[in-house]
Amino acid sequence: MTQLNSRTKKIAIVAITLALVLGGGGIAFAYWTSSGTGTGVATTGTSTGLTVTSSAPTGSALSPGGPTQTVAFSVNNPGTGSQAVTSVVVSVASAGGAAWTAIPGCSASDYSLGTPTITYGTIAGGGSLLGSVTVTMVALGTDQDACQGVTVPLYFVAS
Amino acid sequence: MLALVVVLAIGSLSSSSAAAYWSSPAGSGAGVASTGVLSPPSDVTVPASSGSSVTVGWTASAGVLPVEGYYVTRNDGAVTVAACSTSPTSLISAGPCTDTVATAGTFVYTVTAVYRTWAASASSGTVTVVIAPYGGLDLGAAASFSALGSAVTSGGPTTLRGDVGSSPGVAVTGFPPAATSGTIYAGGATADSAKTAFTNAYADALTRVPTTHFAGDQNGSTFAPGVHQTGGAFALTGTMVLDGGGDPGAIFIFQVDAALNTAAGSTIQLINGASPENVFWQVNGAAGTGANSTFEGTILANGAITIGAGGTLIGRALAVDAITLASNTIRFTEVP
Repeated sequence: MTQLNSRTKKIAIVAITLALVLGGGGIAFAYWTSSGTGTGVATTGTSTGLTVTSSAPTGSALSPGGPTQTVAFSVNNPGTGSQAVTSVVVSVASAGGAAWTAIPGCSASDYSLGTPTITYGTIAGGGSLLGSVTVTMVALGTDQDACQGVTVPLYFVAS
Repeated sequence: MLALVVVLAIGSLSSSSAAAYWSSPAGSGAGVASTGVLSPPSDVTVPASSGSSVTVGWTASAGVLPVEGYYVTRNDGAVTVAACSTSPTSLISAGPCTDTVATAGTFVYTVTAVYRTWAASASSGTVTVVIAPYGGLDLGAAASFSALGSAVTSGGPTTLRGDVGSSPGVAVTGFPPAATSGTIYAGGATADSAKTAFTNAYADALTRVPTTHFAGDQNGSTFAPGVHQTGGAFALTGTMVLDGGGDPGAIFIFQVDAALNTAAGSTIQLINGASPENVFWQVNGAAGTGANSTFEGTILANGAITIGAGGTLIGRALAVDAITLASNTIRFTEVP
């Protein structure tokens, strides 16, 4: 009876440990793919949101059907753990991605953005990925005078 | 215990694998691009005052964008109209340009540079346009002549209402069978005076400021009163209309800087008060009308005049050189 109890305890310990370990792994996975909130028992720290910074454009000023400007950007991982980046979306938009309506008669439709040039991958903690995007002004065939001299806002979303 | 270690090891590996799939919460950032500016032309100039031909000058756009051209508009304080025969779709590459103004007034000109869908403008100061009233040409002593040239030759039974004269020559031939209700002056003081008056009237015609320009065959054209100028020859293969607009005093002066020729059977129609007495043709060359055609007005030719066989001229044939007639009818008014 004593031996039987001892064996039963060992099996129970193994079962509980297995459940805890496997269960813990499952909780950590759910946490890392979330938006960064929630609780869990992962032991590798918390995920920190990416940031995107950009440089001043290079190339001649835009004009209808005219030259192309290139805007270099950096996707930064301010956290301590590695983070995978699989997408960078750039748009002509105001802060927060809101529609750009500051200039009557001139809007995002007057401009065209190229596909961002970037090699997606994992960014180590404190590291960054570099990329660029091209911007042109579309010749719409209608009056686009309102766009003369305008600074065009770009909005980057990296994930 | 060994089993526990194995399980822990597996669990540890499982945790490492989870880190490799770690996806990032979305992050964002801002950037900018810059749009250029089309520079307008500068120094748009007009004279303070002008006749009906206003010269508009300007300095080209100084920006880096390659301007496609310019168009010009004229504003009288209320209405803006196209000027210098330009428009947003009909540009000129550079100034200056000349704008013909038909009515007196004070105007401001605007020159607009165009680059694709962009435009940039600059305006002039004001110009006051004075249009000298234009009357008919004063034919003086030549007014009584139906045909006046260095010589007059008629073939066939031409009938004329007014005088017939030659100066400085003395040849008037073909009478009869040609006949006139006036007097034949084969040289002499009267003919000389008439020739001088013709010369003066021709010079006066040259000074008139054009109100319109035209070119080519005028078949189907309608002209309002004014001074109408062509830098080339005048041609008429069919019918053209002179519309007096209800004004019996409406004046039509045509300045033709080359020859004048009309085709056989061609016609000039005078409507709405237009009168042959008020129609003048200054022709810097020879003038010829087609057989059986009807021509209206006084021809002042710096060359010879030939009226086609059977043709009718309601007006006068006044020429520096010889006049040749052929079974024509020449009278001053529409009604015989």
